[in-house]
Amino acid sequence: MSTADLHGRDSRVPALIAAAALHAGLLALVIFYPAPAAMLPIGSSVPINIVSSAQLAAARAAVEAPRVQTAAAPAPIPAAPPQPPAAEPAPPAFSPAPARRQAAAPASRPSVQPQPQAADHFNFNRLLKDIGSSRRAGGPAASSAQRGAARLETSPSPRVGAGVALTQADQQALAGLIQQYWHPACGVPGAESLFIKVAMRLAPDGHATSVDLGGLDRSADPVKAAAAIRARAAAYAFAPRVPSHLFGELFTITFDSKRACASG
Amino acid sequence: MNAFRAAVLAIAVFCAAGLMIGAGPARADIAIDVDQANLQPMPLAIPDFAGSPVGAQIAQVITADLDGTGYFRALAPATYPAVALSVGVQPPFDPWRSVGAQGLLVGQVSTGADGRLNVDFRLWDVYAGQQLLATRLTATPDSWRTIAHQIADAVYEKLTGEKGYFDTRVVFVAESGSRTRKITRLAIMDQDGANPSYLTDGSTMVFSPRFSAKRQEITYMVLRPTGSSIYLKNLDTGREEVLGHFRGMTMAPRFSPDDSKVAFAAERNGMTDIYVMNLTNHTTRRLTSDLAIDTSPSFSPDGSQIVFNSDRDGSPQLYVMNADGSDAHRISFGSGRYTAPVWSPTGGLIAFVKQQGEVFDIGVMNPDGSGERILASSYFADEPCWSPNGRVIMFERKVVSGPSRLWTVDVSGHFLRQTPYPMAGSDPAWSPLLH
Repeated sequence: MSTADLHGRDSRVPALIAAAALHAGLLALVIFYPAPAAMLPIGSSVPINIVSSAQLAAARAAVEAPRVQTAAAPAPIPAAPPQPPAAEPAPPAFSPAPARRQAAAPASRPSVQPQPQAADHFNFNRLLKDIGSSRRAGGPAASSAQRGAARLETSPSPRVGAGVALTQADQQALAGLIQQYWHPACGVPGAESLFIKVAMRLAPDGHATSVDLGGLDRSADPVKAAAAIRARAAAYAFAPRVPSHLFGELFTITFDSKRACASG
Repeated sequence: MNAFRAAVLAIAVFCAAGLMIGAGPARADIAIDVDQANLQPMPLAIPDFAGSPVGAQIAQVITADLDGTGYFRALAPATYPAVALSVGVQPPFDPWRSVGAQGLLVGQVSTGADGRLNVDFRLWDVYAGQQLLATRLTATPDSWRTIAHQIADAVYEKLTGEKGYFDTRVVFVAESGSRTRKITRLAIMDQDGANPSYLTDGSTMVFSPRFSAKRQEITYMVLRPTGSSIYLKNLDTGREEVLGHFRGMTMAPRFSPDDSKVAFAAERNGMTDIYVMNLTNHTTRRLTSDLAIDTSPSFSPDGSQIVFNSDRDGSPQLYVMNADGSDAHRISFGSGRYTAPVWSPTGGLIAFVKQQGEVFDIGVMNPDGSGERILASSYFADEPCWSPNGRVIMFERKVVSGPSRLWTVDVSGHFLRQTPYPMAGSDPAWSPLLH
């Protein structure tokens, strides 16, 4: 190999490097150059998809298809008359009801109701703790019997129905139970200033026999009707959590959307 | 005889007394006042619709629609109880109560003899055990998304009382190209970002598309070297007409609520003022005439007033005037520059852009200027527009430098999200409901 050849090879090295770099650059450009945005179809008009609607016939009752309803269900649906659902989200664990309450129960009512759930004794103090209510002054008192006369003084209008006296704190505790299930549509014009009154009667076994909205759920005003539906759902959800000594009572529940929405 | 009467009377009194004693104390109801609430979204269960693979897709679209409102929270399908559901049979409610569902939507998809899609659905109040809705929707199979949106609208309206906004479209400016050679096309998509398509080919610069309040009709502006033009386009027919040519810049044409007029800002003789064009005879009337820059007019829902932006007091602020141009008065007094006001379709709020330093906010205020609330802050934000029910605002936004994307935020400010449209977009305008 001559010196000239060596010189010749040496002189081709930079050219080869440059060519390789150029190819590498082109390859990188092809790989990394941002792809143009996908082109969308172009149309001069955008037709509306026509959808027709019709009302469905009434659904068959679940009992008409018991096999379908119960076969795949892990918890069979009770065929007996409606009862408070057994699988509700865990209610507060109530301690035995205070003596005064049981003593105050009318003789015509059983002192111990047959109940499907064991945890249906009422302890407002525990309940208040569970629902995190901050409105009550608090304290260790677990029942109005322990509070004695002082409770009556702080409760200007104790409710007396069939021998059941509820203090203001008791009512607040019940309200705290209901509010967990009440989802008002705050922000909807007109929905934030509604007062919805729901009358709910509990049967002696504790299930809601009637929930009366005074026809508000059939209101021509869709905002009122929707608000009534939401309040009714809260009342029904509340019913299974009512302590047993209040079974058979008539509850009048007033939902104050204005204050509830303002608190958010 | 008298003795007999006395005896009967005594017995009667005795019985009456006995009855009263037996009745015990007078019964009174238990009154409970509830003034606090669970302000979390209402939990709903929306299982896949049965009968067809498209049933799962329909359920997904409904779920996405309702989840984005802030009023509803679709429960995770993994939590659903293993119970059989049929649209024709009342469902067992206890298993659904146990997972916390307040509403249950059950649907069934079938194909008719004519090949059309039948979608039956029922909405159940789980706690009350009552049916709230029961409807069959029928359409061509390719309209399944429209069916899903209409079901979401029906559920939304039943449970809130106000009309939904899911079966709607958004027209906007799709942007592509480099910053120096930007290509803008008029584009349209479903409100959830699906089915995007272009309405113009990119050969002209387009701006400020605005939807009619009632019809599937838009106005938009085209900029050419010779000046600017305002176009009116019917989306159903594709028919297009030029409302006017202007030598200077025109901006932000916007319909009146009754679609009889279009308000816009135009530059003439070095002054930018607000004009109104009658769409019947195309006559134009000037509403403002001052040395300031007056732009971005937007009618109140009753058409009696216009909110606009002006720098007549030194910096861009918001003003409200009567629709004839009288009684203009300032409503924004906060720090910063207020622009792009838009009156909500329900009339209760005005959306705006507020610039403070290098931060752009999307906010709302009452029409008298009170109650200002900032809903979203960004590196850049502009051109808010309202959903037809006034619940959600869509706007263009840059989180950092880069192309603008379309975002939505609800009026509570809690639910800020980017639309699924994957490309750069600006200047959105929301259609009225399609059904």
